[in-house]
Amino acid sequence: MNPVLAVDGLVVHFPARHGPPVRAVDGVTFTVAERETLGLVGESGCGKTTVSNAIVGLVQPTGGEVRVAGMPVRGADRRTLREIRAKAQIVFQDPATSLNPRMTIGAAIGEPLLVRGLARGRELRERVAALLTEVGLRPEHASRYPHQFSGGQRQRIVIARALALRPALLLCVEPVSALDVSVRAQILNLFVELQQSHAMACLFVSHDLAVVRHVCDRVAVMYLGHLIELAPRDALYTTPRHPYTRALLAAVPEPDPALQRAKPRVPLQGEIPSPAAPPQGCVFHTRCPMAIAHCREEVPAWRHLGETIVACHRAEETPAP
Amino acid sequence: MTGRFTPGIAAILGLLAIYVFVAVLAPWIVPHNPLRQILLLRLRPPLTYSPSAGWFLLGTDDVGRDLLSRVVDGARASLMVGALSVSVSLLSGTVFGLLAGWFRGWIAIVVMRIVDIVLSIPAILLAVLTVAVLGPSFANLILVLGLTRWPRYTRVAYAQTLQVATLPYIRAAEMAGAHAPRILLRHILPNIAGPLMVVATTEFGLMILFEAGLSFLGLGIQPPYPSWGSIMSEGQNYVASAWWMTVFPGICLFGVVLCVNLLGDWLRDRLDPRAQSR
Repeated sequence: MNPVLAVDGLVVHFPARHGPPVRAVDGVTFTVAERETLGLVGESGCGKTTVSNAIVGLVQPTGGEVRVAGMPVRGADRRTLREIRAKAQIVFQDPATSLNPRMTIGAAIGEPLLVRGLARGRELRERVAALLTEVGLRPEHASRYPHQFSGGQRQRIVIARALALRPALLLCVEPVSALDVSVRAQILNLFVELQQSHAMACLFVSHDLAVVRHVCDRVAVMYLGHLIELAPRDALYTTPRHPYTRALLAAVPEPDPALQRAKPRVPLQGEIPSPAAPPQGCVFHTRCPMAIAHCREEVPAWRHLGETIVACHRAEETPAP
Repeated sequence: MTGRFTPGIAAILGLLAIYVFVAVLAPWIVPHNPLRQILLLRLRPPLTYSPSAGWFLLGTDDVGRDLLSRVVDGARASLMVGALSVSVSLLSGTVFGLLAGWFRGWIAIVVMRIVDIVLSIPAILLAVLTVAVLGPSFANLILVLGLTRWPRYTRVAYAQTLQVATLPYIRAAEMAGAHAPRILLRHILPNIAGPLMVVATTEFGLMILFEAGLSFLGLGIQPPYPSWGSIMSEGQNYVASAWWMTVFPGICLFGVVLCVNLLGDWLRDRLDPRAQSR
């Protein structure tokens, strides 16, 4: 069975006015199967947002191949790109700026259907009403403007718009990080529900490991434009193989103070290097507590360890959890 | 100003309606022929009565024409110049600004350099050139004002478009499959209309004054036909002895510019759904 999304060696470089280009994404490979949720995690600036923008053609890839439902994104003409965007829709981070303040939410949700000539007039209104109901809002909300809704409700509206075309793949870019903690759980549960009822695949981009654990089947970890570990959720959270993954997990706070005190501390030294001048060898060696001379010289190859795929020379030496 | 329909805005609309009404009906409501000179009754103050010619409520000008009739008749020229030239420059300036801001690249470079060039040419010089080539007429007056003023709107529209075009809801419209014309008209234009409205309403008054300057140079409304600007510029020679010639058209101009500015503020808020129901 073909995967809904296949990313193969994706490279995105942004030309800089002075000096070398910014290597935002440097050789990322993964797939997302039907109905699967893949979490894409990493700290700010690691390139996870650029990956999702490249998938729908909002930025042009420099190299590699992206296929959405079999259609190549790289070099796609306008019509193909439009086709791809019917299959893969995005939910952006900030619901406050994701909606046109001068447009009623009914018009916003109906826009994909209207501009593609899929529905109009009465039928359009009915489909918008159905979408609103589906995301937990009321059909009569359609005539209101975005400012009349709370942040959580706005994100529901954004989700409804993304669902309008019945996409096979939903890209969620930090969909709850701009929301109050009190409404995050509601929105996440809505995602899980909708994903099942629509039989969608989902790429869930987030820096929040607790959120990713709640919704994802598999998790991919990025660092400085590189994918460093890709594993099924339970394997990643119980036996992280890459030292960076371990550091990330150690940084997730535990609600129980006793557990929190018992957690291993893996503080990282220094700052994330500039993506315009990434380190030689393993990109993580400058901050890695386990780095050896070999790490500075050779880029680690992808290796399978059980269900995990990891790029680290010393992945076998994982300390016992 | 919250965009609600208040007694204040009703008064503004009412006053503007009176202005338009007077301008349109000018030929029928003027007490005297605005062009008829009575040289024996030159520079008479307001409320002058002459047994032979009747009342001159606002006095007479330097060649003995009834000032009230000239102000009423001049309203037509002044309001038309203001409204038409603002429309021409607003429309063309916004279109250029939108296109430059959306497509960026060489289109933006070309458009914005033309803007710089036009702004660097003195408006009076351009007006003299245009009239010298095309001859003085009302249509050429509008053309001159449109030609010299559109860059102001282009600059505002360009800067605003650049800013709005980066927002996620524009990405979302692209994801929806909307084409450029729809994105420009439905998503960007409504969100940059506020600042453009403010520019347009301030320009409206400026255009009436600009026309006065051109008329003074003999390039605008041709004498003996009146406009507020030309009445005032004729009157400035007598401002010490015959204040009424500058004051009354000035009050009319002040009133209409104030009304248009207040109406512009109100419209800007009215068009912004966020300002209502809050």
